[in-house]
Amino acid sequence: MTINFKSLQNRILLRFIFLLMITITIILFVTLEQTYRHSQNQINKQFTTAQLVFSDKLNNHSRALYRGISPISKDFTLKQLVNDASNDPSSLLSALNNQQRRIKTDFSAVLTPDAKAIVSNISASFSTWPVEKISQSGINVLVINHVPYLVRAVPIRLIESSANINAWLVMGIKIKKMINADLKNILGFDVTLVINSTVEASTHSLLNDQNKKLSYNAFIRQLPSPNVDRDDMTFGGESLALYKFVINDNDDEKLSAIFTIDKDLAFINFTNLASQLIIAIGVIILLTVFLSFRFSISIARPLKNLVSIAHKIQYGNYAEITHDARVSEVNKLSFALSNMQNGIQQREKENNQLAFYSPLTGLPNRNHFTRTMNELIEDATQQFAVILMDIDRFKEINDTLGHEYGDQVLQAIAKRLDDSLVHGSYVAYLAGDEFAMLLPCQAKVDIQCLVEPVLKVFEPFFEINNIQLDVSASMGIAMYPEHSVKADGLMQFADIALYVCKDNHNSFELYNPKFNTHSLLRLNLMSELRGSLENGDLQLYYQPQIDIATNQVKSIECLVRWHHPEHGFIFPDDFIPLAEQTGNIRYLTKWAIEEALKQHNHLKENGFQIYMAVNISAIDLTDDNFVEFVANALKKHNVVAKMLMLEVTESAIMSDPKKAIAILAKLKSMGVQLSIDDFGTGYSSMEQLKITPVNELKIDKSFVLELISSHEDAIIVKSITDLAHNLGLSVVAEGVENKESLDMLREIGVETAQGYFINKAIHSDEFLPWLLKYKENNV
Amino acid sequence: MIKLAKSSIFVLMISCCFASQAKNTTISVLDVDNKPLPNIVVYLESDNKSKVIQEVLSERPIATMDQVNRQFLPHILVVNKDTKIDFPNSDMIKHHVYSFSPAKTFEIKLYSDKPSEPQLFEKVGEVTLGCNIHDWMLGYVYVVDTPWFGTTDAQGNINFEVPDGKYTLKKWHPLFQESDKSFSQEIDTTKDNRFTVQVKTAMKPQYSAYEEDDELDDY
Repeated sequence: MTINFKSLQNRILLRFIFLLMITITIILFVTLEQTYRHSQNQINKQFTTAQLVFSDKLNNHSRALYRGISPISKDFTLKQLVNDASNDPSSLLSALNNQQRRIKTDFSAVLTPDAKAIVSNISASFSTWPVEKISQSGINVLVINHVPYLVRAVPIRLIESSANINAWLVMGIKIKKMINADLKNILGFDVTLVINSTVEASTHSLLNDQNKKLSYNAFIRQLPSPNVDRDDMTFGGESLALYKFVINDNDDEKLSAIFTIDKDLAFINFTNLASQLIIAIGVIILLTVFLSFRFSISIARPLKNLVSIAHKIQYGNYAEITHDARVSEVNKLSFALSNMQNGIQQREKENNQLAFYSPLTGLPNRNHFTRTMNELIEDATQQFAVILMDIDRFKEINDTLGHEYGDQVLQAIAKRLDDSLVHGSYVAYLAGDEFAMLLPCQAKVDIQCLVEPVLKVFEPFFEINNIQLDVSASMGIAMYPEHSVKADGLMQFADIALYVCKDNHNSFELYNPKFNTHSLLRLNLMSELRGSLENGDLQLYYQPQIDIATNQVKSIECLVRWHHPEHGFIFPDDFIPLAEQTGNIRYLTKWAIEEALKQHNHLKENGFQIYMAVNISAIDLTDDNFVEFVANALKKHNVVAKMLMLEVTESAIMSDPKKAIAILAKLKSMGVQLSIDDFGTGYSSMEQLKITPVNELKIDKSFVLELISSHEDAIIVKSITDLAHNLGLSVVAEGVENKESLDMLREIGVETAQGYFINKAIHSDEFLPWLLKYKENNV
Repeated sequence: MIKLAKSSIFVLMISCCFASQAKNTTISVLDVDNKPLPNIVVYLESDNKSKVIQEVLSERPIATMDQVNRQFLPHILVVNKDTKIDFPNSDMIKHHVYSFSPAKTFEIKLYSDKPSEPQLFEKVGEVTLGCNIHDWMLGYVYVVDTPWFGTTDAQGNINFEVPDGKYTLKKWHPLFQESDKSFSQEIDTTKDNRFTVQVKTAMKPQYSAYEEDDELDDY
């Protein structure tokens, strides 16, 4: 079984047990150590007491011996026998033996005053007895023939009170007689009497048999060195505590009593305590482990539950969380998890709202629309129409009444559309002024009937902030599954239909596959535009402008032409707006300026100083680098700045007037000439015109084409010209297609004319020959 | 008592006979510290047998060693050789007087009053007396072979009426060291009548059998 050490439950458990083990080990160690020491001290005290008791016992024997032999020494008969010993020693010896039997001693002797034996019943190896020593009170030990005796000598005085000592009486008892079971009981120890290196007597069961020589030797071998009193030894398979009591420490005869006790008995209290302690500790460990286990489970189990809940939340399965109040931390965690779940649910709703609904209109957004359409397609049971809707002239509403107002209009439209919905139909707000609808319908439905309710939405005017507004919409319609079975396709086709609808100024247009080529072309053009710039598919065509007064070619407008290798000639009206939308116009403008400057130099080499007019877009007027680019290009091609004329429409300035005017001012200060193109078609104000730093106004051709037949046009042209002249600007007229127009323009005072009457825009290769020819014709 | 009286008269008579020749001689005994020693046996021996014979009577008076209050009285008794000594018991209890001394070994077993026979001391020398039933009782009989003997008085002096002449002066006491016991000195009474004799070695300490019995004192 493997234990997961990272699990909280196991960690708590293991830590508890670890701490417990340390605590218990310390307690056990200290207690046992102290108890063992105490037991040792007890044993040592008992040994000391035993020594005292044994010593006292020997003293008592010694006194008893003295008391036994003292009266004998005073016995008159014995004195008589002693007095007569030289004549009759046998009688004295016999009397001695008799006395010895009476007081139960083991030997007796009568000595001369100078301690030589007169009579004796023991054959001692020495001739002179140590009477000085053995006549003293106390424990007198005399070893005779290797046997230790407790002895006493008393003087015999024939006249008792005389100072003269006439003889000595000596008697002794074998000490081994005292080593018996009684002694063992009194002392509480086994006693072994050791003389020199021989066991004399012992109460120990293995030693008290006289014949056990081997045991004696084994015992002797185990004894500690002579200087050690207290030691332990192993004997006969028992571990013994040992104490040595030196009774007699003569150089030649060393007599000791060895007290021994089985350590198991000596430490019986210690052993009992230790075992009880270990049992108690075992119980404590089991209890603690059990309680720790319960505790760790009480924490870990709710945690496990919370973990599984968290897993569920991960997969969006929200469930009611039950709170376990037993552990407050866990309880808090569980509440936190619960709050987190609620928070996630709430935010999920909000995110869903943000992701799938428009905050402006409250309608579903493009994502929701696409998803809903996909669901319908997946369902595949219902035919439906996809309607893309664009509010006409919404930009104008925004520009004139403000974006805030525009937003209110969108909200009002959204509300009406939403209210108009019949069962199963669906409306979404895509972006800007675009709405989209899904209308369920039958096959071969009359499209007019289908869109009728939607058209009716726009019939009443909208009244917002007390302004009555007539709003109309253009609709592109694609049918499922007739036109496409894919959402992308349906959206694209509806978009194409909308585009066509706008071009045709209809209120709705159903998709027709014939739109497809055109629309696909448009979509592909932009991706190809930059490649075409590089490989020369785009070219500049040049249309001359003449000074009306002199009829000389004064300037040329440079116009972009695209010869697409597949689609052939593409009109600027088809790709310029797209290029503006995608931002590609920047590359186009820069390319055009550079080409124009090259052409200028080419013409200059051939003797013509011609102004070059190049159209720039609103995008260019928002580009901070544009001024720098123009300066660099002029420098690069070594062209005087005034020879470059940049044409910009009124609406291009209007998109960001402040910035546009700043850029135009910089360009003008460099010397570049500026012209307002298509003047008269935009919404620019006179105020705007006054501050716009331009040199020239270019009257839109719509006023010039019918100049002769339309009196109004003539008045407009004349007015514009007067206005321009009054503002210090020169005037260019476009769309001059006949001599009458040219003459009228001359009459009005217009400085410059451009149009088919002079020449159409032609390829650069053709322009120089044309110019030479024109010059020839108008010298 | 009659015999004793006779003897006294006899000595007196002799003294009168030799009055012109006899002189009163005083002998003082000092210890090692020059202090007078009382109760010391002092006796004078003469080489002149005739002189001695004149002094010694064939029949000696009977001497007495009494036992009073469980003590021998006197403590030291000096007698001439062949003197009989009586050992009357003046106590109300019995005594058992005995001696193992070589000069006179005897034993008078448990008796009261006066023993039937006095003991004859025939040998010169010291006799230590004891009582078998009263260990502390100690007495001495010192037997000399000369008519001039006695013990010093409390002042350590003794007077002798001796004929002029040369004598050997000897002294004895149970506590004398052997050297002092055997020491003798020659004196000439014709030249001087005062002599001082000093103990050469310190006397043995007084011995008490009961003082050393420490092991019984424990109880």
